[in-house]
Amino acid sequence: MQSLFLIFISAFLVNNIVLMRFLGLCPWLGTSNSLGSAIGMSVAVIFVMLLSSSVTWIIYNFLLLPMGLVYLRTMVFVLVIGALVQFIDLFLKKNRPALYKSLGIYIPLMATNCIILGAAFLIIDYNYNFIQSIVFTLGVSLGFMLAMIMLSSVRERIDTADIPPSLRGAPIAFITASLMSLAFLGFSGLFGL
Amino acid sequence: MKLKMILSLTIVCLVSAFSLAGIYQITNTKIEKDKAGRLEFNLLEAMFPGVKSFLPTNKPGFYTLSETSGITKTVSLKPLIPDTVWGIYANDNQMTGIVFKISQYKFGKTVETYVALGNDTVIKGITTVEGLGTGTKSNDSWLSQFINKKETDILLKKDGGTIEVAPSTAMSVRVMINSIRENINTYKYLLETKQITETKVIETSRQDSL
Amino acid sequence: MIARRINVWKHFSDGVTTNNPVLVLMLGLCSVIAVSTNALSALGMGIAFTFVMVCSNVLISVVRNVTPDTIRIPVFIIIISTFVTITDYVLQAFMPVIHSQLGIFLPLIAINCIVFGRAESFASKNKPVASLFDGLGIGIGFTIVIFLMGAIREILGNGTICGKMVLGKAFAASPIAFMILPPGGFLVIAFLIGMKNWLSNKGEK
Repeated sequence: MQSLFLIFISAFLVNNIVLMRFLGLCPWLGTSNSLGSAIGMSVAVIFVMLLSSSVTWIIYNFLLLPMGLVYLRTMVFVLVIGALVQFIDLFLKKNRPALYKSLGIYIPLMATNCIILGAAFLIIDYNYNFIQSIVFTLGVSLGFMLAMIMLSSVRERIDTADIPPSLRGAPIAFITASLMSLAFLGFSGLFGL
Repeated sequence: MKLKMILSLTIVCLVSAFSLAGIYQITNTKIEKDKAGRLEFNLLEAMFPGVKSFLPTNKPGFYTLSETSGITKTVSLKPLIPDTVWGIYANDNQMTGIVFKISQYKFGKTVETYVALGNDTVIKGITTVEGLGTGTKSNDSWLSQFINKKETDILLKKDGGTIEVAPSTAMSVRVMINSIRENINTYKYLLETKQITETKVIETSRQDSL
Repeated sequence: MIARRINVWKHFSDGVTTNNPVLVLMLGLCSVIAVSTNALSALGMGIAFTFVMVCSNVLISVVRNVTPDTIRIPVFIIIISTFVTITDYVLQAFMPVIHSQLGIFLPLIAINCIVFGRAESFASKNKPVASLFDGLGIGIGFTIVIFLMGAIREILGNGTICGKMVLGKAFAASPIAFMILPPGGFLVIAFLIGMKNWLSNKGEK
């Protein structure tokens, strides 16, 4: 139980996926213009990621590892995640139109989102079992949501600020990110981790 | 049309799978060999800081070390706990000490620290792989303060010990120090209670650090 | 003949300058920031990326007429991830140090937006030679930026470049360690993009 909590906190704060590991910067910058789209994107990430991590964990441990096909890992994961995203897209469109309306535009972006694939690789690198990998995924995706909400709240104010023209847009967002990441460095001493 | 689709997809899959299998066959033996060699070198470097190179001898499991000072030794390594603790033995099967590994994951890379203890539970040597995030230059001078310390000294200065805080490391120094101290205490306990001998495997909980 | 040569050169130089994947299109930023903690691993990443980019561009362009349009995406995925895995294993066998520094960012080239974008928008519509130079241009544009970042961060954060001391012993003893930590990465890329914006704004005036 304690180790599960540590895995969660580590993925959520100490090794925050965006601010400490630099994964998923494209959607982080691209969809953080408003709080609404930030939340929509992060909910979609949580949803897709929980599914994709379980599927890739099962495929890796029950298919690739026993058959000695570890070298097909990258290819299989990319294909599986692509197919899964396509499937979720179709499923929501048909059966849950209300949910599709709010999340629909973010789902196709998941296929090239490096958080999803990155987490799948990290789970293998850490040798997590199924429960641990689910907890890890939850930590990672909630960490993404935290970073997303933080940036979008700051950005709504930055838009009205007086910034040198060369630094408008992405550069100022990165400077903001740098300061946030500096604050997150402080978490590395948390619980003596 | 459909047939052509299936056919071309199958061909692409097969070609790539076979080429990957080929590449894997070619590189895998070298990768495994390198990995084993690197681990042995790290362990021996922790125990014998001046080690320059090592070669396997005729006796299985034994290596001839040559140090930069020109001295050569014959030693062997045995894992006591897989992937965590190794015992180092001299030529006459007498244990010289143990080496344990501490891994820390920081900023996208794993930092591995190998600590060597003599039978008197004093630190004989310490080496890190990947660097402490400060680059390799300043590492050696910072690490050298650990040598010849007992477990009671392995505390940060502000906690009442003798270890200086690293000026600018990317890793949590306190975590590292705590793991080292706990490992030494466990080893000491096992020596005192005679649970550890030349051949016996010691049972300790693995130090999990994040 | 000359016209063709100019054309090829244009594909190449576009990738390095006006179409620079990192500074202009702002794609593939994850790996640029993550592996640029020192100049050598940054260069390793740049070369690995260029290799994947060139090979997959050329191969996709070669098979573009025989792949039905409906299955082109899976075929792209397979081709790109095959080259990524090849790079992964070759690096692991022959340059284990660089490989361990690149970590998961090496397999992640497989879903890099730049590689996919060029496959979809350029290689699937153009001849192999043009795709070769396009891939080379994009790859070298990426390499220049990532190497620049690695060099800046290593010099300021460690006082060295490629392991050699450059700013003197006093600086190397207490460098600006902030630069090789994650916040420094964000800061350096922010100012690189800002500088590029400043230069292009000045050019317009």
